Amino acid sequence: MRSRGQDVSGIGPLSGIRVLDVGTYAVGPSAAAYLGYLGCDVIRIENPAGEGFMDLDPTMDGMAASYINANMQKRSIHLNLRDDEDLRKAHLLADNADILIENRLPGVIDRLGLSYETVSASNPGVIFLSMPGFAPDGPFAGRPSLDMEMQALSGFASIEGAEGGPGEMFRVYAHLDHTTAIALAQAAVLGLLNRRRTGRGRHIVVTFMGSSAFLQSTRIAEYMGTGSPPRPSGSASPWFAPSQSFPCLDQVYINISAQNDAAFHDLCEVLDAPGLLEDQRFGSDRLRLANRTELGIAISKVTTTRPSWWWLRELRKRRVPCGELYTFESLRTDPHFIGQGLVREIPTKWGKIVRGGHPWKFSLTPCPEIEPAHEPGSDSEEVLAELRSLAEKP
Amino acid sequence: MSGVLDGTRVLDLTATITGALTSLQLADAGADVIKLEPIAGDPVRQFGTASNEAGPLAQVILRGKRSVAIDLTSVASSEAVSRLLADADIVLEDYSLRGEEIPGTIRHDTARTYASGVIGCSLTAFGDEGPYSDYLATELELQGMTAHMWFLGQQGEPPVRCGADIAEFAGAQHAFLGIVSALWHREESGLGQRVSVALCEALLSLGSHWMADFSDPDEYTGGLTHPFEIPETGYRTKDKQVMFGFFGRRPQKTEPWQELCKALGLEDLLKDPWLAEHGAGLVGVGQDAQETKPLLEQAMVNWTSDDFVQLITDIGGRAAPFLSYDELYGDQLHPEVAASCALVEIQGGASAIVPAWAHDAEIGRQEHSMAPDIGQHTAEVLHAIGLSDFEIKQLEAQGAILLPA
Repeated sequence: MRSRGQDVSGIGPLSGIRVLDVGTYAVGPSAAAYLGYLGCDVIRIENPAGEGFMDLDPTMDGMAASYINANMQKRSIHLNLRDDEDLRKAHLLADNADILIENRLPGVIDRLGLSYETVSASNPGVIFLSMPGFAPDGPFAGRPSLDMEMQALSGFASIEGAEGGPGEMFRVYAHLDHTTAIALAQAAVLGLLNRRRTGRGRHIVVTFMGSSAFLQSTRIAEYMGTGSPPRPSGSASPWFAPSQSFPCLDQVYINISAQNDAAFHDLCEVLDAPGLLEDQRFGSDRLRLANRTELGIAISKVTTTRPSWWWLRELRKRRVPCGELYTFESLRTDPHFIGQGLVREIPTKWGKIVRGGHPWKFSLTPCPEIEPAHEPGSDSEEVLAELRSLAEKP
Repeated sequence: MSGVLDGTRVLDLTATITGALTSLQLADAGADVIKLEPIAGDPVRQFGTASNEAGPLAQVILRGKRSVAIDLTSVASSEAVSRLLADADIVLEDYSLRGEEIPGTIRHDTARTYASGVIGCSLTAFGDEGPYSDYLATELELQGMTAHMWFLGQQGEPPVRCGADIAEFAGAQHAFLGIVSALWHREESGLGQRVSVALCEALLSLGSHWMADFSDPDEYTGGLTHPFEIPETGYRTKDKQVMFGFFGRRPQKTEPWQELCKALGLEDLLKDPWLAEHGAGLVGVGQDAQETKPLLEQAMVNWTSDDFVQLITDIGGRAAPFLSYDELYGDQLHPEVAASCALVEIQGGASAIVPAWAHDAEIGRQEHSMAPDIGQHTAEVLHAIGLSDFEIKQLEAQGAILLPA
């Protein structure tokens, strides 16, 4: 049996589409990488002087691990956009691109001479993507935005943390960055479909704030419907109960969820706790949610009598949703995640990078194998030679 | 005005949050989404409600779709289902995610229709194959097993999950990207195909940035990538929590720390030569910050968050207040939320957040309809595929479909 880890390398559904990455830090370059995973030919313009992102801790052989991860699946050319000759080459690349991605502060790309107006003047079919932090006509317009600032400003931090706490941020930042990169990649493909319909390219703007809000749109919907803001609730789900972490005899927590009567029934049988099934406070989905705290205490009393592995084994036999609380080390050694290629080791010139696989499995157009990030600027000659041969064609 | 996917027909067989969010994005891009719903209704209609009303969540995630209430296991409905499948551009299903078997007629028909240009999308939790492919998981278990809960809470304390539904959104956003990419390929080739997305894989793909950080670092640097710290709850001011930091290349400049100490009346700290040199790296976020946090918070009690954010910005740092849902999305919308067009009016007066590209007048649908009642569009959709009034009444009498009263 062929596992997903050894999928034949394909060309991807977007094969033939050319992407020019003039992004910086995480969001723009990651969006370009996602399009590369889907089969696009991605060229990244890199300033010969490098960028601050390359120095971010932690590094691998001197290069930021974040930079290596965000720049897989692309070729890299050195161009200094403040140099007239290099800017002319950048425009030649943009003339040949289907998609251009930039995420600099508002106005910067215009000052660099690579605005939508100048690019589309000679390439009217270009899908030009910009990602400012905030709306151009809002109170935060023009402000820079880090992932952790957006966690605070978008309300993301206010809805997580210990029960009764003041809110909490993800300690490892960039979840909002990468969510926004996916939104940019979506906009790029929608732009292509729109071009086929209208015959025209388009400048599409995706704000960091907007994509961070959409990620919370389920919580926001509940808030708008009920008028009460979601509160930090530890591990508990706002939708049904039980759905939270429970302590076990071996002092390890496991997650258990039962989202309907049938699953709750199975859970109570595994717990050998018929009293819970008979308890009127827990007699329906709605009652369990309303009495979530009491239910959590009652179940914890049982889970602490046996070790985590026992409960996981028994719950999985009955197909009750449950799972471990993994760490990085558990992921990189887990037989399913490794065996199915969900976690992979990619050799790069800076060392081995552990990362996720491709989240899509296309039956007809499999994604290409992940190509490690190139040394910045190392494809300059090859890309310029391609440009020359394009220019020579009539 | 009607969105880039206007004219694209989606048959939505899902009954999970992830499924609903996937077809929601298709609807927001203009597709005609026909939701085939169990006669008892999609269970997501009840999520989060402690009352008998349909939940506010359902009002938002089912919006913009049409509902056909139909029993897919009934023999009587199989001809209608076949015609609906034949009419679809995209077929979306999540049976594996709910731990159910895909009905035979649908499995057979979808396999046949890929060749004729249909794009099928399947959602799973852990993938189609491998030791965990049968495991059931909700948002919570997916966050736990992909190590995302490792970055919240504190060792020795009860675990904390991310408050947003990051696994379900990761799955739905990747599924949507996969579907529109397959649509593009169909434009070029005329061929359909199946794209499957595993939720945990989508979340791990997004998490590649932190996995890369842990892969093989040159040095142990702690700080922003360290999961064994106390929670990043921000700093208390007079009115609300504030996050701040001095981010930049090491070594840190010394001026911001001196300015901060002076502004907060903590000049005594500057007498410590080590602190005077390294102070800016010991405040804000990260494990080192915990040492100075109590001192700073004591001095910050009389500062409003606005003033403190201004102070940090003035001395070269970055700062932001923890904004609440009341401030952002309450009756008085935050001007940034209003300006970022993330919020749209739905017919009937309600509001909803749309994907970040949906405000674009050519890309996104500009008029948004409310969530349908169960089976609200059963008759109109079945009429459109050629069923007569008599045949529809017959199906109703056999219990294969539901027509609203």
